[in-house]
Amino acid sequence: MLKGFEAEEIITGSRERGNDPRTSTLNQVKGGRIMRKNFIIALALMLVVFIAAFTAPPPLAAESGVVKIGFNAPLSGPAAAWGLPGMEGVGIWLEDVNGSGGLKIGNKAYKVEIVKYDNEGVGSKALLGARKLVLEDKVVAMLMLGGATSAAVQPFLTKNKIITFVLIASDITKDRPYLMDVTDNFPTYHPLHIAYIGETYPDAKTAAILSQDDEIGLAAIAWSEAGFEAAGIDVAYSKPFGMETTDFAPIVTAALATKPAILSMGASYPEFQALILEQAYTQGWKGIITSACWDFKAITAKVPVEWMEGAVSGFPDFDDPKLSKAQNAFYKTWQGKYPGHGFSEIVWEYMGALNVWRFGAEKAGSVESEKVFAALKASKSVPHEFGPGVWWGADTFGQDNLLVPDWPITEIRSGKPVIVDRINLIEWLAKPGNNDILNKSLVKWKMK
Amino acid sequence: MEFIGQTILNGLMTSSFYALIAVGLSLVFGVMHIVNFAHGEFYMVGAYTVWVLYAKMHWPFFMAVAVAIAVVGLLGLISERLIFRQAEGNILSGFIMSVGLVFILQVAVVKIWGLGKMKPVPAAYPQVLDLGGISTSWQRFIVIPATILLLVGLWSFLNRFKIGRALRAAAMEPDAAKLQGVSVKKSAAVAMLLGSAMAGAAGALMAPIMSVHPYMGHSVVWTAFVVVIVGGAGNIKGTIWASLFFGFLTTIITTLLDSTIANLVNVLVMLLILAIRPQGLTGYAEH
Repeated sequence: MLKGFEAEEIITGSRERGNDPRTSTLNQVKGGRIMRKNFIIALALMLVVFIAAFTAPPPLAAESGVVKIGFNAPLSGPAAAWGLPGMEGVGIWLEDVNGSGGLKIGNKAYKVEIVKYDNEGVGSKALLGARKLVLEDKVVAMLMLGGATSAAVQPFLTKNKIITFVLIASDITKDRPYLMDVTDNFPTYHPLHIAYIGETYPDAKTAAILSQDDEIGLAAIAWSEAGFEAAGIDVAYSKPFGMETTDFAPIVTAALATKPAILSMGASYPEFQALILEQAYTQGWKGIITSACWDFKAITAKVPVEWMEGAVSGFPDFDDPKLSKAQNAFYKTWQGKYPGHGFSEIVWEYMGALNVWRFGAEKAGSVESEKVFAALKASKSVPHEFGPGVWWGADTFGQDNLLVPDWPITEIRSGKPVIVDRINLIEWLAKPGNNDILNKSLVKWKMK
Repeated sequence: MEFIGQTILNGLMTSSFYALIAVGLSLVFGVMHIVNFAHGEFYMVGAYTVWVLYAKMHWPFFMAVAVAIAVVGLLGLISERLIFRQAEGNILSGFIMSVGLVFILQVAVVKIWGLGKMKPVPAAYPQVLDLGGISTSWQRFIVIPATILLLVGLWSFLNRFKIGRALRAAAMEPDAAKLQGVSVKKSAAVAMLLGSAMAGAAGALMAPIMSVHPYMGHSVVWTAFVVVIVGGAGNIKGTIWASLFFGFLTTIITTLLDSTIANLVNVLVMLLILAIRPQGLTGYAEH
């Protein structure tokens, strides 16, 4: 085979053999053939390498002793507060697990790596992220917020049988077998918060619900309406607001015109929540506030802390003495690592999903997605952050993929959410009429 | 009655905001004949300046607002000198240049301060202003007098000062203005300085009221364009009337129906007015 320099010599004619045009032409023809041959061989080799790379079974990331889990969540945009703080809890979990030698699954020890992707809460971006995380990074499980992003990514993740943990229970459907909610339980806790309000504040008889017009917001409205009806409270306003709303004054004016005693934030995005509550405060409203959750720091930058006193939700700070010592210790670690940050349920929820995944992997003796999923579903009771949980959801969502514990009810007291009660969803649904009321509301809001 | 009063107050506040953002855009179009899509990003830079100076560095709010106006005005001046002057009244070139500037400013802000959560700007005046049954925060209310003050200032500048009159002449008849010794380039620079400063003022005053993020200018600039087109491109008086009209229209429809429908109706009204009066409600640049 000719070396590059020789070939170049032939192609360019002769450097030292004079300038005979016939020799030169002959050499050019020869050289052209050799070059073509070389080119074809090189092309064939490249093709072989290319085909080998894309047809060989992808090696599991876990084979190398590192198991990768995807974090495909909004790290910017209006839902960033439902993604970004999750990295804090996940970071603490990683330090704890990897610092103690990694996970012992079967006979192997694995270091865990979280690969993050900012989907901005946008479906198309979440799908790009899912493809990258699964095909390039070879993740074996996915942590997600859910909502609109679930609709976009689930066909792909289901096809690849990737177990996915979301914070939105209403994302669970019959055609999403590998999607689970093992932490947040949204929106199923809305009726539980409202049941508590109904019992504790019997004079409160009118409610207004403010939530955005997207999958998350509508699910909150549907479940909240059911909760209010079951508690005998009239819903005077439940019009979803557009996602592009920037000024909430007119919307709050319309809601307050119905004279509500209770203002439900549904599942308004944290950024919206602060602006809505600021309007409710400045327009002179006083009453009982309830919400899926709070970004308390953002809210109290806009309204006085004392105005939020008594607000009802379901997420205690982890320094609550009614929680476990491990959770209290986690809070202390988090506080030390992130001074000045506000604590919200998002800090621990993605981490809580990692704990459930770990439970499943240890049971399965494998990190393979399908095996972990099967092991989790085979367990009658799975440890949820709020206590032992059972699988539920087939009647409402089409799959028993929601892990239901006794749900805590919190009230804001002296500026902090504290546990005041615990209510179980399955028991609430078993009460006469409640299941029918829920189904009626889900049908009304096209959730069923 | 309370409901109507509250809606009127909300409408006044929205109209003031629209006027503040749209008048600057109209001025730039009138003098430079440039459809400046980066006007929304100037607004965003104004809001970020207040976030940095007031929310993070704890400067007095109005001092932060004043600096934001100056910073954005200067940014407009630099943009005119380095970018828009090359367009020389070519609307398409100017438009494409402004779209480029949109990306430059957004990326710059993301690079410096990141994306993440929206930037919280606490209210400097969170006290509730009670107007006999209707109420708002002082923070929102000050947008109304601040807008009136800025618009009166602009009006005086354009009518009482030689350079202001030159600016109007350059907007009306650039060739005739040149013959009278008016520097059209200088007028363009002044227009850009004032127009951008108005956007900066809008962003600065709205920062504690709305969410501050790198893409906040996007939705605002569309509304501003609707207002400017209906008011008569380059016509400041018309832009103020259109701001009032759309401020109340948006508020009423959002209150009764939905903000999405309000945006839709705004655009439909714009199309309707354009079909009937292509020159806008009160005509093009004032004569």
